[in-house]
Amino acid sequence: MEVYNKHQREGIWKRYIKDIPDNNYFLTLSCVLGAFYPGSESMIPKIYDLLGLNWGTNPSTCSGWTCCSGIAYHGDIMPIEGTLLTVARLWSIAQELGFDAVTTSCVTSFGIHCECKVLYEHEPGLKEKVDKWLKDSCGREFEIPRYISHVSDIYYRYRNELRDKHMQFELVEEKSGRPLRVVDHVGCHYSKLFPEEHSLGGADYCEVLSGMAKAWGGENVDYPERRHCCGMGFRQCMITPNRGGTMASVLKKMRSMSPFEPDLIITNCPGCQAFLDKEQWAIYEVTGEKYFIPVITYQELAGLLLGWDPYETVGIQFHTVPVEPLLDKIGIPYDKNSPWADCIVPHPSI
Amino acid sequence: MSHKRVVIVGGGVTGLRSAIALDDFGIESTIIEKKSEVGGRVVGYSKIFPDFRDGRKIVDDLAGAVSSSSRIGIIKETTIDHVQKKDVNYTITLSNGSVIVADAVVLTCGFETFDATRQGEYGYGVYPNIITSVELEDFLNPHGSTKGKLLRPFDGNPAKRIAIIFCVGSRNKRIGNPYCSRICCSYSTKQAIEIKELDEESSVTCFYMDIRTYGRGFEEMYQYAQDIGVKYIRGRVSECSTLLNGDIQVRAENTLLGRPVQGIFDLVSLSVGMMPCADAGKMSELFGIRRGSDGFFIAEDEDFNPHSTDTQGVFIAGSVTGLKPIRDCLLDGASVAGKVASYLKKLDNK
Amino acid sequence: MEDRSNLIDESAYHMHMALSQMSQEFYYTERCLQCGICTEVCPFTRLNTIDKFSPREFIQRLRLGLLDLSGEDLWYCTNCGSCEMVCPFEIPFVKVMSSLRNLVVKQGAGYLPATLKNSISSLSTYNNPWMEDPDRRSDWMRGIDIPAHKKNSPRKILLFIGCFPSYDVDGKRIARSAVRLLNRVNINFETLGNKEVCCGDSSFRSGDSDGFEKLKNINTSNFAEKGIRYIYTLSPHCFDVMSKWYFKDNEYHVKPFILLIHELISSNILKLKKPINKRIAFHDPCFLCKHNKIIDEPREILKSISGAEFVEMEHCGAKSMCCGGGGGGVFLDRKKGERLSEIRLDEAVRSGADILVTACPLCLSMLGDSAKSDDRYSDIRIMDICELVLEAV
Repeated sequence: MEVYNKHQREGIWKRYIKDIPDNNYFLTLSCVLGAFYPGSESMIPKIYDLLGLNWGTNPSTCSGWTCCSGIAYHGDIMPIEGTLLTVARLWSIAQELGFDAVTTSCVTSFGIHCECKVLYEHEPGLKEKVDKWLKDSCGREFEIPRYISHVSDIYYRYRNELRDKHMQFELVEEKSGRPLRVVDHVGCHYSKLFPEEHSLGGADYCEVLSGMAKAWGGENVDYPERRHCCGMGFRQCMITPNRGGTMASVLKKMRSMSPFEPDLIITNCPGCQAFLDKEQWAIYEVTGEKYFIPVITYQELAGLLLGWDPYETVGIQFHTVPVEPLLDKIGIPYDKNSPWADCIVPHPSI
Repeated sequence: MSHKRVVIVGGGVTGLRSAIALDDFGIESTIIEKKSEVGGRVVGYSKIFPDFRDGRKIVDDLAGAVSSSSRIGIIKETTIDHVQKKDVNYTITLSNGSVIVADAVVLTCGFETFDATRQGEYGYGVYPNIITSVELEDFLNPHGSTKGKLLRPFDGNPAKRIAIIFCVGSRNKRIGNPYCSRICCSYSTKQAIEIKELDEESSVTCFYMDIRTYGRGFEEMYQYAQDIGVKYIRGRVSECSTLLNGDIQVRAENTLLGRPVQGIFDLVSLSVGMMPCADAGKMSELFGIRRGSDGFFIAEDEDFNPHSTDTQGVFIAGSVTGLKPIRDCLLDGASVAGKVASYLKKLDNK
Repeated sequence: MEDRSNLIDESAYHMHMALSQMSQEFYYTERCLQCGICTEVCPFTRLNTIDKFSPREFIQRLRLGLLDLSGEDLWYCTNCGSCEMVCPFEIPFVKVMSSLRNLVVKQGAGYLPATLKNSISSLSTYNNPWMEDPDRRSDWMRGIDIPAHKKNSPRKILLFIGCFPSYDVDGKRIARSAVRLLNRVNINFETLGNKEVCCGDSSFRSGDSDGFEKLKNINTSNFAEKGIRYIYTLSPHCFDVMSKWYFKDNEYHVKPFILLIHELISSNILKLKKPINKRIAFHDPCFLCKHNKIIDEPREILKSISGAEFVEMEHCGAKSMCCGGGGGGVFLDRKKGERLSEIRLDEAVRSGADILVTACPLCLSMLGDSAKSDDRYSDIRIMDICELVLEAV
């Protein structure tokens, strides 16, 4: 008998299905993803074009584009009114370009957009107030978008098409044919904020990343701290006295998952990606415990399996935990003589 | 078409008891039971709180009294398809095609247990070593599927460390069951005692919100449980997850110490609450009786006429009116007979 | 490196089994419903300190195997017994504390405060807790003559002095007053002199049950040698431990000295002629009022003093508030502002009393020392009841 009944899990997560639009996406960008893992963000437009979708964005200052204000709001330096106004402007830009589906590249943005949408639903008179503020401040008008999705929802929606038509590799160990053991780490603001309305699969058995992993040949790992937050949280990682909490959360997760011997961790949130990746090195420095399980975003995973160049397009050189061993496992070729390959500090565990 | 005085819907202990009580009045009745055996749920309980009688024996005694009377008939494996009211009579069409005209109807359809998969965080169905209290009853029954031995479903090894989680599906507004199921504290304590008496070396930990052992002899049973070493931790369990060997990790807060606790167990039993019976909606429609916000039937007057409904001639008894221990169901069965008898007398005198 | 203190696992079961085999008291803790009434009445919770002591929490941690004996909190309990008086399930918490302290003292299973360690070892070597010379134990008697023989005395009693009245500066006042009182009546009394050793209460309460047994054996053989069957103790602690733990049969009758005073006054043998025109409050020692239900007798004594106005403090009788001396507390140093005796003295001040009377040498020591260290209490005189009665005869 299996320790983890996958069939029953299907029954549970399927109670939380959300409506994912197929086309006409407005893309918002993340504050940090482009800086930490530029490949991830730059591949999104490539995938959209590959699938032939109608999409648009306008990240230029003259349009009035800004960050969604998630950092400010969650870091307690901006009240909710400021966030509502900022998001309203973003929605106005989207509607100007003619899109009714907002797809966010960052999970914090996703959480912020959903929170605003839910606030409008539950608080009478709020829309009118924000209409007035937006008009007075920059002369814009906005409507509440019909769909708010995360880009990982889109990848999920098109996972089979990507696999069947475009992918050249699978999440399988080349030599033995064994499906790779994948830990899916979904951002808290995706799955836990509004589990019934906006999360694919709810909070406990969130399916968005594990669905992708399954579709692309891998096998999910269920471990006790699967639902545990990575510890990023702006009030934890941005404030020096609290940084220990972030590292402790990552350590807890790593300790819990290591008996299950996962091959990789997939994330859909820039914060989770950054900290699960970088804290593994800090943990080694502080405690001496070696984990070094590669952490990659779903965009990077898709890019690798599509056969795009690991350094030029996917950008695995930005990772702290080396991803090359994973490429070797799957059998994805990469230039071993590339100068990027030399930047990796050789580590005794590898 | 046959004319019967009283039709009793549901052949559990309440239905059987009311038939016997009616028989004492000299009134004939027919029991309609959807399963192939009478006795309902009680037949599966080897020990009933607070005095630990054998449920099978109770049912056998009742069934024996029923079969020895010529005035009580039983129709098994049948349900009700259609009901038509004509004057003061009820024309009932059964699923086996036969039609009965009844002067009075007593609904004793019992209850359902909460579907534990609705609380995804407990992992019922996904992790094999997590069972419900209903399944635990079966394990503890010497005539049950494991012949009275406590074994882990995952690998069949003996279960030494058991956790019992209270309030699953009850006192929970989020899943729509804000009420207290009243008997779970008591039956869980009974099960804990049974486990400890079966194996002195086993360790039983109960995670509770409150201990509502309210009835006569119940509190003493709880004290006895404590004396024999059952551990009680006050704190609602937040999640159950699995380890590699099938052990279950349970997390809660020990609110009395103000700190989180974590435990590793062989077997986790979810004490599920009671819900209205599956046919409640159908019966309510067929017979035109009201249901409360909790889904159970409402009497004409809860204080003065607890057995009568808004519909003349239709009576309710047992768990259909709310959650109660077996002793109280038997009491209900006996007392509804008096109400029916006086009703029939009035009918006859017209 | 991993903090396993919040894990429920088999070690809890084994710890509990081990403790239950050691003493039956742990079995009784299974009944605890965690209602919290014990914590509310515990005098320690009245202190405004950072360290919190909750009997309820202690039992919860004990039952779950999460007990940590490396902290100081095991030694906060003064054995006053307030908790036992209110517990709906009659859990013998004081005995549980005692058994746990045994674990620490005999097996080194935890932290033992240094001052207590010294007292315990002194008791086993010098038979008193301060490493005082045993041959100077009856030095307090200098200057007082005990009449050698009272020919017509109806009975003979043994006066057990105790360590505090023998050696402590304030305690000696009790011993001398008691003897002077007895000299005024026709009762033939004796003391054990330098052969007397500590009754063993301090060892018993601090968890050194072996030390206690040793002292008990010395005392009981001395009693047997003397052959006097009526024993009166100056300290309620000595009374409690002797009456409950020394003798298996009714051969010896042990009583606290205050009961003798009460008997003498109420039968008019001791006449209180001098008035004392003061307001007097009585601090009930825990080992009289709570453990042995002796509440009315001291009050009757005080009320029979002419001119005295008797006032009650907020916590009186069975609800009396502990001075902090029991359970080894008298040997521990607590910081100013963290002392139970200060709270008690505040109550005495609030009651308007001029004299605060008590009937226990440990209470006298605790209250007296705290009173001396603060000007707030300079108007109150702390006395033992023997002294007061002596002033009134």
